[in-house]
Formats: sequence, C-alpha cells, structure tokens
Amino acid sequence: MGNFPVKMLAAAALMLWPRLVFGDPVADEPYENGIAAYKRKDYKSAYISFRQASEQTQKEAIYHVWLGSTCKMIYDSDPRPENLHFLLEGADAYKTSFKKNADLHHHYNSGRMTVLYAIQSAKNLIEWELSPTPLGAQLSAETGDTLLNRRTESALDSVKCLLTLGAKGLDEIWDTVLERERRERLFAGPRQAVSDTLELYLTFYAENSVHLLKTAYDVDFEGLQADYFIPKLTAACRRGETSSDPQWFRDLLYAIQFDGGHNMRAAVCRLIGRALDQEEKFEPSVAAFEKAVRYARSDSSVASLYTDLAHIAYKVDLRRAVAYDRMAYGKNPLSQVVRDNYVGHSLNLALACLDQGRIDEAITHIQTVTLFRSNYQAEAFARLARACLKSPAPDAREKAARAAREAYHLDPRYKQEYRDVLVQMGRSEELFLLDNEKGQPARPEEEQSRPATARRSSAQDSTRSAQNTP
Amino acid sequence: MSRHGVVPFLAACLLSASLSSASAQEPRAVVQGGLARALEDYHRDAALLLESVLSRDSSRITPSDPELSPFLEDLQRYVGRTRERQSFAREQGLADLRVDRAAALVYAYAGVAFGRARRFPEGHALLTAARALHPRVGQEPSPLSWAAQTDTLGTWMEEQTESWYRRLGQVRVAVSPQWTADSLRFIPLQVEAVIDSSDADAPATGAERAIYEGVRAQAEAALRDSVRASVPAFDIHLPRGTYNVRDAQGLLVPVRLSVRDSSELAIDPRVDLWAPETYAEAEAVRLKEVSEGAPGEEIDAGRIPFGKVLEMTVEVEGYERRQEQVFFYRPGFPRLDQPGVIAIQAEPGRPCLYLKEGAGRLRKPFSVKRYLKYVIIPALFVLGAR
Repeated sequence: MGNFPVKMLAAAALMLWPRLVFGDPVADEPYENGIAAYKRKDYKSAYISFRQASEQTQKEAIYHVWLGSTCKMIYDSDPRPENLHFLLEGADAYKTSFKKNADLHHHYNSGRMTVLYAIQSAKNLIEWELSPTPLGAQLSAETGDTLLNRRTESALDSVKCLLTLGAKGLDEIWDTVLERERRERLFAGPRQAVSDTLELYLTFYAENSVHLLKTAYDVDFEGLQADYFIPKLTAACRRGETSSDPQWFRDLLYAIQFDGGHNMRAAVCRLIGRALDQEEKFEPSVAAFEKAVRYARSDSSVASLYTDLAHIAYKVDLRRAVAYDRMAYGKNPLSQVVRDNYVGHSLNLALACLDQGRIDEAITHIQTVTLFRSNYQAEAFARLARACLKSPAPDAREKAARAAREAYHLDPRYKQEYRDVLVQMGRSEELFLLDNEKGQPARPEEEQSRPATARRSSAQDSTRSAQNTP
Repeated sequence: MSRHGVVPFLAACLLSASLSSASAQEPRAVVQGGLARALEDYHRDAALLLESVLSRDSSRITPSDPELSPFLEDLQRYVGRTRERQSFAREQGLADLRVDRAAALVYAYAGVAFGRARRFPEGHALLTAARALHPRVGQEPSPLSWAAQTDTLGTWMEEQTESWYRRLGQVRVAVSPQWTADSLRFIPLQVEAVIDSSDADAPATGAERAIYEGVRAQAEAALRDSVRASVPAFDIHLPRGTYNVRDAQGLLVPVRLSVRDSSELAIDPRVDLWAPETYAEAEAVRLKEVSEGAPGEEIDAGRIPFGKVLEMTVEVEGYERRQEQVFFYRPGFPRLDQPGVIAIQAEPGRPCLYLKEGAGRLRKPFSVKRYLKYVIIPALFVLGAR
C-alpha cells in the first residue's frame, strides 16, 4: 500500500507524458479537435482548427516573455542562491521568444539574465569554495590537502565556465546594441543623442563587463581574456558620450585606458584597489594594487601604481610608504610627481625618526633624497643640516655646513639657515663672506619666515597628493 | 499592450515618433544615411579591435593564439555584418562613396589583423575585397593612436599581410575517398620543413623563422582537420620550400613535397607512395591453414588462398615471435568479421598493407616472395590496398 502514491504519480505522469513532452499548452485543444475532425473526414473544420492552432502557436512568444519575466521576479523578490537557476530558465524563455518574434528587447533580456546568473553564481562559488575556511585548516595534512585541492580545482573549473558564459551573454547584449542602433538609425535618421533604450543597453553592457572582470579578479582572471573587453568597452563608452550621463562613460573610459589602454587586468586591479581604499580596507587594497603592479607592462604605469600604494600606506605605515616611493623612483626616476612624493614622504619619516631620537636613521633617510633634483631638494638639504647638527658623529658638523651651503646655493631663501649653522660652528670667515656677498641682499625677516612656509607647504603638498590619489 | 510590458511600448512610441520625423525626408536618403553611419560605426569599432590585436607582442604569437582569437572572432562578426549591409546597399543601388569606403576600411583592418595572427591567406582575401571596393584604401591614414601622422594603412597592410602572403605557395591536397573513409583519419599526419641552405626564400632571422613555423603549424592543423572531416580535396598554404609529409610514427615513407607557386599533393593508397622500402625475409612469415581449431599444413607463400582463416607466424630476427589469425579477401568479396581474426583485403600479385598495434610490435617492414608485402606498424586499424 506504501507504493500507492508512487503508482498514482506514475500513472499521472504517464497520462500527461505526451502532453508534457510534445504538447503545446496553447494550441493543444484546437490541435486535438483538428485531428479528430481529420479522422472523421471533416476536412473543412479540421482546416479551421489547424489554422487556429497555428495562430495560437504564433502567440506563444508572449507566454515565453511572461515566463521569463516571472523567473526574473522570483529571483528579484527572493535573491537566494537556490533561486539562481530561475535566471537561467528565464534567459532560455526570452531566447525562445526572441526566436519567435525577433523583438530585440527579448534578446537583451536573455543576455542580461545570463550575465546576471553567471556573475552571481561565480561570486557564490568563489565565496563558498575558493575562500580559505577554518574547517579546511582542520583537515589532516595528507588527505585534507588533496581533498581540498581537488575540490578547489573543480570549483575553479566551474568558475571558469561561468565566466565564459557571462562573456557570451555580454556578446549577445553587444549584438543587441548594434542591431538596435541600426534600427534606430534607419527609422530616425541622423540624430545626436542615443535613445534611452540604447543607453540602458550600453550602461548595462559597460557596467557588467566591469562586474564580470571584478569577479574574475578573485580567481586571477582565469578562464577569461580580460583584454578582450577593452575595444568593445571603449566603443560602448564612445557611444555613451552622447547619452544623458556622459561623465560616467568618460570616467570608465579613462579608467580602462590605464597602462597604455591595452591592459585590462592592471586597469581592473587598480579600480578595485581604489574602491577598497575608499572603504579604508588597507590590506586588501594594497593586495589589489600589488596585483596591478604584477600585471602592468610599462615602467611608468608601475611607478604610478607604486605612488598610489605609497599614498595608501602613508596613512598606516610611513616606513612602508617610503619603501613604495623608493620602488616607484627606481621604476620611473624622471617623473616629477614620483620624485616629489618620495622626498615628501622621506622628510616626514625623517622628522618622525628625529622625534624618536634616532638621528642616524633620519640622516640616512634625508641623505637618500638629496641626491636627485626635486622641488624640495633645498628643503631636504636644510633639514639634513639641522639633523646633522644634532648628531654626535665627528664629521657631522662638517656635513651640516656642506648641506646648509648646498641648500643656500639651490635656493637663496635658505640664507638664514646657512647663517645660523655657520654661527653655531663659529666659522667667522665664511660668515663674513656670506654677509658681504654682492647681488643678493639679505632680507632677514623674509628668510626667517621662508623655511617654515616651505616646510608647511611640503607637508601640505604631501597630504594633498595623498588625497588626490590618481 | 499590457502583456508586452512597458519598455516595448515606450520603444514603439519612440519608433512611431521618429518615423513621423523621418518621413519628412526621402526614404531612400534615410536608408542610405543610416547605412553609411552604421558602417562608419563598424569601421571605428574595427579600428579599436585592430589596435588591440596590434598591441600584442608579435614574437609571442602562437598558432591559434587564445589571446588573439577572441578579437579575430569579433572582427569576423563585424566583417559579416559589413558584408551584409554592403551587399544590401549594392542590390538597392544605395552604395555611394561613403558606404564603400567604410566597408573597405573594415575589411582592410580585419585583413591586417589576420595577417598579424599569421593567417595570411584569409587576410589577403580580405585586403583584396577592400581594394576592390576602394582602390585607394592603402592611402588612408593609419587608425592607430600611436602611429605617426604620416603613416598610412598601406604600410601596415604590406608589413603585416601582403609581404608574407607573397612568400607562400598553395598546395592542393587530394585525398582518395578510400583513405578518408578508412583509417587515415586516425593517423595524424605531419608536415616538416626541410631546411635547405641553397633556398633563396629560407627564413633568415629568428622572427621570420617563428612566422614560418606558425604558418607551417597552421597548414599541418588544416591538413589534419580536413582529413579527419573526410574532405576529399582542399588547399593548404605553405611558405615556398621543401617539406616532408609523414605520419606520427615516421614509419611510412616520407613524401617529399616541393612547394613553389602552386603544388599538388595526392594522398591515395597507391603502395608506391606509401609502402616503405622492403627487404625480403623469406623465412620470416609462415602461413598455415587452420582446420577445426588446429593448425594444419604450411602454405607456400606464392599460393595464398583467399577466403580462408590462416594462422600467420611472424619471426624476424630481433623481434618477438607473433602468431595471428588472418583472413585474406579480395575487394568485392565478403569479409570475415570474427574476433581474433584480422581480415586483410588483398589482390593476387599485388603487395598489401597490414597495420597492427600492440606490444612487441614489429617496426620494420618485410616482404614474402615478392607477392605479398606486409607492413607491420603500430597503428589502430587494418588497412587494405588495391
């Protein structure tokens, strides 16, 4: 008796089977009427029934639209991972309806739902399967590792497949854009602005290309040719420049043209790094920027990334910021921005060291940045002189005099600084020469104020450039 | 209307509004303007794609490069769209200078990109189409952002595609249907370049050699794919020079192929083409009749009966002794399908090929009394020859 419900179900399924498989929910009744009429040789009414069936079949596209829209609504009202597959079903339904009546918006919808499905599933997989878990660490070393590796590999494969699926969906949307554009052109003639629908398509395309790439970032862009998106994103942004929100498209265009405009990986890593920095997540943002450095091709791009890194690190760890600045200077020693940042951060670090009484370290930091030309070179020499005066080393005072002289030669406004050092060291001959120098009249009141303002302006500049992270 | 949703409704309103605005103009002019603008957009998109293709490091491009192929697919799609629009314009008599120029530029960009990916014949075909539409396409400015002001598109066309295409020769490959239907599909063929220092066209620099290697690898892949798909005749392109065609094991005699402007390569089961040099091993193969499961008396190698199960013993110096049950049949006569028995198609007085895989296999060919030639090599299937 326990089998009874199963049997009932089986019987119901058997009865419904032909209808489920072959049956057309709309045209079923007229179709059967037609068959019956044909069998009883009433051809006239069979003709009418079949005509009715074929008309109803043509209307079926609408039902697929309803189905697709319902699937979307199910997911939207309850966006749980269990409901994700509805998106794919909806995409299928829209695709069917597009095949039946060639309404471009259905094509767009099918592509859109495919893309949403791909991105969301990939995100879920990455979150569940590919992030390090505390449970994974508890597994034993021999079996645990292989088990975990195998699981990770299969998850990675799935993510790759999903990313490819998403890219295909985006291609579909691009096709829709081109087709829509052609139709609008044909009907509307030359027009300056794109229509709202086209703008919607373009925005979705651009936004979700970047989303897809951001998802791919978590698995190091495996399974996705990131640079492939650059030409079409550029084309989308160019079209979008005539839309109602051109600035959004322009910003995106500037962002993706980082590193020569042919390196989407570096551009996306940089975008992610900046977003994380704005959320004040230090370590992840540094990790993203370091990934960008790994992908970047030109030295100037690497240097600019290191400068960005230095600005991020400046808020947390001054020493690390100076290290990044040094790497940036190593990559692109000719850039004025890189040099000035390096000098500014180093001087601040030296100041901190002096406060803590580590005079030698401070001297080292300042000396490194006096070796090249920068906007703050004179300031650096002046500070070197001041630091050397505090140092107990035997040749420190000599060094201080030299540094102060350099500062004065680079910028005559440091005359007072130089004079003070000479007075302290008791070098009356040099002092006499300096005071009787021709051509550059001494203006003590201005000179006294100048180094302070220079110091303040350099500090201001470094904070300003820290805010203006390019 | 509510069944269609809101957006199509809005779109319909928009279209009807724009229709009324457009109807003020002459409809042919509207269509022509739309076509020209669409093609110009394709031209700009194709320029972006071309720029991406050309930004790849040329020395790192491999045959069927995964980094390049998505761009090429996209360019193909744009070429397809352009071709559609342009042929429509042709049919309707709407093709003016603007339409033709934009279409020609799309073709030219795709041609340059295909050349970069070392698919020179396809690239050349596209460039030819571009020149036919717009003869001065070579004097158009270069679309690349990093190009100098004086650079023309012609420089890129010559550099990337045409100069290389002129160094290629075309080989017409004809495969006899018997071979494609039979087991040639499962024998991967290889094309090897023979380096000949006297050859004027031989690649001199490393970069040239890499490009030649890429073209050769593509030709090899095309040969393999076409044979696998049982295409009876097809063309492959190879740099001019001398080549060996052989199978993966290198056991069949290599066919030496000299590619000049156009050459022909016939792959058919003629034994003089495929059979290796033979040497006589009179004692190596002995055939015995099988009667009721037990081996009977030995058969003279000159008088082999057809249509009977025979036991073949192979003994060659240095090789393992092998026993097989074989069945010879003439073409047109029924063959025996029985497990453990190898059916061999043969004609009296003609050599035949016998391919056998497995451990302890014989690597060298040998013949029996000039009447039957056995070629025993590790392959998958039994082959018969006329």
